[in-house]
Amino acid sequence: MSEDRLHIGPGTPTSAVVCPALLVLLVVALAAPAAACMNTVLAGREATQRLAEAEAALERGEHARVRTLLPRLVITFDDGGHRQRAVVLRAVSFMRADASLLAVQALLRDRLTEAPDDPRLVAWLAETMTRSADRERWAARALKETKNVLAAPRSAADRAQVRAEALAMLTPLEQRDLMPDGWAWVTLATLHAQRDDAAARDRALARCRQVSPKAELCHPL
Amino acid sequence: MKLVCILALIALAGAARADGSDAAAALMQRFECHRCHEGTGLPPPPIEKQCVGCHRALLAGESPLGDPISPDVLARWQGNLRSLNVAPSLAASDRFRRDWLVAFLREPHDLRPGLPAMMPRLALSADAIALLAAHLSPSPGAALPPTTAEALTRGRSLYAAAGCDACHAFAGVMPRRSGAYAAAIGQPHSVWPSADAIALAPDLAVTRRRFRPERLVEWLRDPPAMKPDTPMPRIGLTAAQAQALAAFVMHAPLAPDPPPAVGERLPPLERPVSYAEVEARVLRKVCWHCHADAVLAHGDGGPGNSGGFGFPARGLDLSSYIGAAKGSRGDDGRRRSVFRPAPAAPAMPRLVAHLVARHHEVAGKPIPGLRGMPLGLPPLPWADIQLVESWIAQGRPR
Repeated sequence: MSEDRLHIGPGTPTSAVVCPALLVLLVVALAAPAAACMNTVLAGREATQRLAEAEAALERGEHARVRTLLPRLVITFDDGGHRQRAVVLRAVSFMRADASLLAVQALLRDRLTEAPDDPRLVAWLAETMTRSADRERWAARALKETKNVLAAPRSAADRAQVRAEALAMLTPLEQRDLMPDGWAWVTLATLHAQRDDAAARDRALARCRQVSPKAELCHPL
Repeated sequence: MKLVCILALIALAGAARADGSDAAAALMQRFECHRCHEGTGLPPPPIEKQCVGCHRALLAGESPLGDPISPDVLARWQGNLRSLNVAPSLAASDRFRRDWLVAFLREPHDLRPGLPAMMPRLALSADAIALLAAHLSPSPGAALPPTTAEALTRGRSLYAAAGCDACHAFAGVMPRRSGAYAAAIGQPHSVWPSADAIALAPDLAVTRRRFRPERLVEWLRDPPAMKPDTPMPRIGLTAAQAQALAAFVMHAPLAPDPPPAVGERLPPLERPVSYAEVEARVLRKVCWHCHADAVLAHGDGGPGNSGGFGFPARGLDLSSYIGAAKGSRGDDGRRRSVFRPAPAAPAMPRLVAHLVARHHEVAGKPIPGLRGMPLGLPPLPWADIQLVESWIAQGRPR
């Protein structure tokens, strides 16, 4: 089980790679909302609403919608905090779309140095590590927003160590009743499944179905 | 030599007053008194931190942050603004007794029946309270002077003739005109009494504990002269009339004041409770103003998240499901779930315990170690607390 390729959930593209900037520009220009245009700076209420919509889309597993709402080369945010949040939301949407896991992991580790007690960042990092441990492809270059450069886990032992580390991060959140969302429970379920603990996996998936806005997202990664 | 000593004493007294004023100003800055109160001597905070200022701008049809608000959104917001539309200024606070100020800052209680909000219970030390009270009222105040039956009778007649009950309640002495506040909402401020006047009018039953007797006659004769921003009018009382009215307010026998009941928690609901319902009825309606997402709110998630009113940053975001799930930060800096019990109330989730504690606070029986929520606002109805508690007991379903 632990060596199998993991099933990718519904709604996620089977492959997504970091495209050249020109292609991304073309895609987002076609997909972007009518109000967005080159170098738009969002501020105030519009910025808040855009971010809130992107958060909700991310939780519902609508990864493409997140990137439509937050097209990186087309809009930016006036507020630094908003800008940072948008970067992370985009990265996580890429992560769930099976792309740039190593780069996303590096970015999340970066953010955690500033907010080490944020349960959602912890859960996202654990999810990224869980996905990357069983992927054979990962990005060759990190997003420019991160200073971290990580080595990819190459051996089965390396991947097992990454999973163990991810489990060690999530277990305290579960014990302290600080699991932030359904995706965190999905990650935990996946890790339990990889350890062949079906009962723990099922408990985590049941909890996911209870707290997630879309119960159909509740299956192992 | 004698003159030098006198001058030195005057200089020292002045320095002590200046130090005390500086310390008091620092306290008022730290506990952000100026978020609600004018008359602190501090410059106004940014509009985003002005609770009353922001609400009043919205009620006047203006956008507090300058960005456009659509008419239907503005109308919806205006309909929701029931609290913190007005707050008393701290100008002329030297008309109050210092011992009353100390007691009030230590255990705030409802003074104004027409005002939904009240002074919040802040984490003020005894020293801070003493310093603030001394700053607000430099003189302790005289003893209550005796009166006569004739003055009481005359004062009661004047009370009715002057129309004091148009704004003021006088619990235990005079019947209150019902619906006065509700009727005044929506009236233009040129209509007397205005909604602000009714909202700010204290219950006169507390005057004998609150007001310095030697200032009350002066106040009754000409309130705006003592406090220019007061909505209380000058009604043309003579000195003798003011003396009689003051005697009535200070000495009228008060009927026994039964202690307010705390009420009881309701049993958990059996029907399913969703997060959407809890969010609509409780979290988004009341809590998120102080417990917002700090990033979405441009860096300030409110006093209950990013810190304020002297409270440290607890990191509690109640504006979303995920925000609430992330818990809050304890005194040890570690996150703890708001759905697990607090040490001060092990029989219920921490979030529920704070809501219950507010009922205890307004009944004058605060629970040690547990600050009541919502801060300074009326307690949530027991049915709303039941809803939150039921949702938590059901596993916080989406």
